[in-house]
This record gives sequence, C-alpha cells and structure tokens, in this order.
Amino acid sequence: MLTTTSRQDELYEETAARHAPALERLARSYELDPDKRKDLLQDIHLALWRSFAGFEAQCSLRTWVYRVAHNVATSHVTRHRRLASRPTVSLDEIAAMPSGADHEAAAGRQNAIDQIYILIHRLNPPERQVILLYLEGLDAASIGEITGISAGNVAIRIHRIKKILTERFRQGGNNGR
Amino acid sequence: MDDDMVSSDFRDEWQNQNREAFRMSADEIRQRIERVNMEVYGRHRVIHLTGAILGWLIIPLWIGLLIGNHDPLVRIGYALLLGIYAIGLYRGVSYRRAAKAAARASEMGNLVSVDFFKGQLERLRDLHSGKRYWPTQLLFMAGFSLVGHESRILVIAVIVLVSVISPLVFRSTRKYQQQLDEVNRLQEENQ
Repeated sequence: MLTTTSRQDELYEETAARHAPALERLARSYELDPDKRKDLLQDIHLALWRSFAGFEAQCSLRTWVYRVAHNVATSHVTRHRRLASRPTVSLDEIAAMPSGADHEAAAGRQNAIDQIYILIHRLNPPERQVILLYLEGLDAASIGEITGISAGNVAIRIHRIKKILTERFRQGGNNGR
Repeated sequence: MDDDMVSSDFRDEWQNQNREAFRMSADEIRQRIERVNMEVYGRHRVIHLTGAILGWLIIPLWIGLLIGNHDPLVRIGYALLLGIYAIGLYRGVSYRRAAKAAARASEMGNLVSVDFFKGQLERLRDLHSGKRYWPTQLLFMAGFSLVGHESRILVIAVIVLVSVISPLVFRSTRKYQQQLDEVNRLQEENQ
C-alpha cells in the first residue's frame, strides 16, 4: 500500500505531466506581474501537492486540480486586495464595451492571445474561471463541476464568450497567427 | 467564419501557447514547503512578539491608570479602551483562524470555486463590516475622548483619524458587498 506522501508524489507527477502548461496559463490569467506570477504558480503547485493528501477520488483528478488551482489564484487576488481597488466586470459588461477599448489597451501587444489575457483580467473571478476552462477545452458539464455554476448557465456564458471572441478578436486572431 | 469556428481556433491557439511549463520535483516541493513553513513560523513569531510587547506594555499601563486615576471620566475612558483592545484581539484571532481554514489545501479541492470565492468575499466584508466597525470606532473615540478630556488636541486628533479612515473602510465594504450580490445572483440563477 502506498504511503500518503508517495501517493501525493504520484498524483503530483501525473498532474504536472498533464496540466502544467494549463496551470501556467491560469497563473498568467490571474497575475500580470512576472515575479508575482512566479510566486503564484509555485503556490499553486505546493497547494496541489498538499491537497493530494485529502484527495479521495470523489471527483476526477482534473476537476480537483482545477478547483485547487482556481481557488489558490482567487485567494491570491483577494489577498492582494485587488477586488476592492480594481473593479471587475461581467461578460455582459465586456460585451457592451466598445471594442476599441480592448485594442487600445492592447496597444503594443502583438497578437490576439495577449488581448484575451487583457480581457480575462477584467472579468470577475467566476466568469474568469468559465472562460479559462472553456479555452482549456472543457465542456459545460465539467466547467460546472469545477465552478459550481450550473451546466445551463455555463452554456449561456460560453455562448457569450464565443460571440465576444468572434466580434472582438477575429482580426487580432488572424494577425496573431 | 461562424462563432464556433473562430472560438475553436482560439482554443487551439490558446492551448498551444506553452508546450514547456514550470513544474517541480517532489524533493523541490518538500524543500519549498519546509522553507514556507519556516517563513510562516518566523512571521508568526514576529507578530506574536509585537502583540505581546504591546500587550505587556499598554495593558498594565492602562490598568494602572484606570485604578490609579481619581477622575471618574478618565477611568471610564480607560475601561472602554481596554474593552476595545480585547475586541480587536478577538477579531484578529477569529480572522486569522478563518483565513487559515479557508487556505487549507484539501478544502480547496472539495469546494467549488464559486463557494470558495463567496467565502473569501464574506470574510473580507465582515472584517470591514459597518455593523461591527461603527460600534468599535464610537467606543474607541469615546474612550480616547474621556481619557484625554482635558487635552483638546488629543480628542481632535482621534476624531480626525477616524474620519479619514472610515470612508476608506466603507468603500471597501461596499465593493465586497456588490461582488457578493453578484455571486448570490449567480447562485440563484443556478436554482
């Protein structure tokens, strides 16, 4: 039988092999400053390793990993008091903003991916999680299991995300390639 | 191109950003955790030591002044300040306990992210909550005013300090509450 720490090592290895690039993208979506991002990423990896001591496979490993990672990142945002100093917006509000605002904000940045990061940084944490998980290729049911938002509600948000991506970034997306 | 095709292209582009990514070995993780624990332990020691020094200096002083002073107003003032100190200490300890519980890694895996976010917002809102803030501030002002009722400068200084801090505290509370309302709406939509 595996000891707790070797089980943690094993689960961590599996997580790093499968999800390390996604975790890096997640950290970048929550923290723009490169030094703080490095700390956040390290915190996520440590929290994951620690969390595996309590993992009893009641959900899939992927769901567990994303929950821990997003919760650590949310905690990072609240710890730095960003939620009170810098207001976040919803997908509806983003959709209502003139598209020039995003392009202006992205001045000097080369491709659509950079613009998406700017957009994600403006979103409130629940909607930020939906868009990130969608971009990582998860379906509405899986996103719902991680975030606690019903699959129907996730589907509505995904529909909005698709519209925003099409309207705002088609040009940027083509340039970015 | 329709929405599905564009967003599908974006998803591919998004996922192909970084093939190589940061990861740690099990040994690195253990070393890092040990270092973090040491840092946390060190930080706690400094906080506890500062609290103890302040407590050991201020509390006996206030108790001494409470007992030794013959002016009843000043005595009531010191009693109020001692009460506020105790409330502050209790709130500080409660907040740290809640923060510690929220940060427990295994809990994070069991909590869906909306619930986790809601918990964080509630904790921050309660820390700055007007319901708790005003009685504490009024008692604090009353305490200092009574203690220094013969020195107008002290009383004015305390009132100015509270007047400057209060709007900032309420601004934060309002913003946390607005975000909590959004999360609550989202949860209601789920039902």
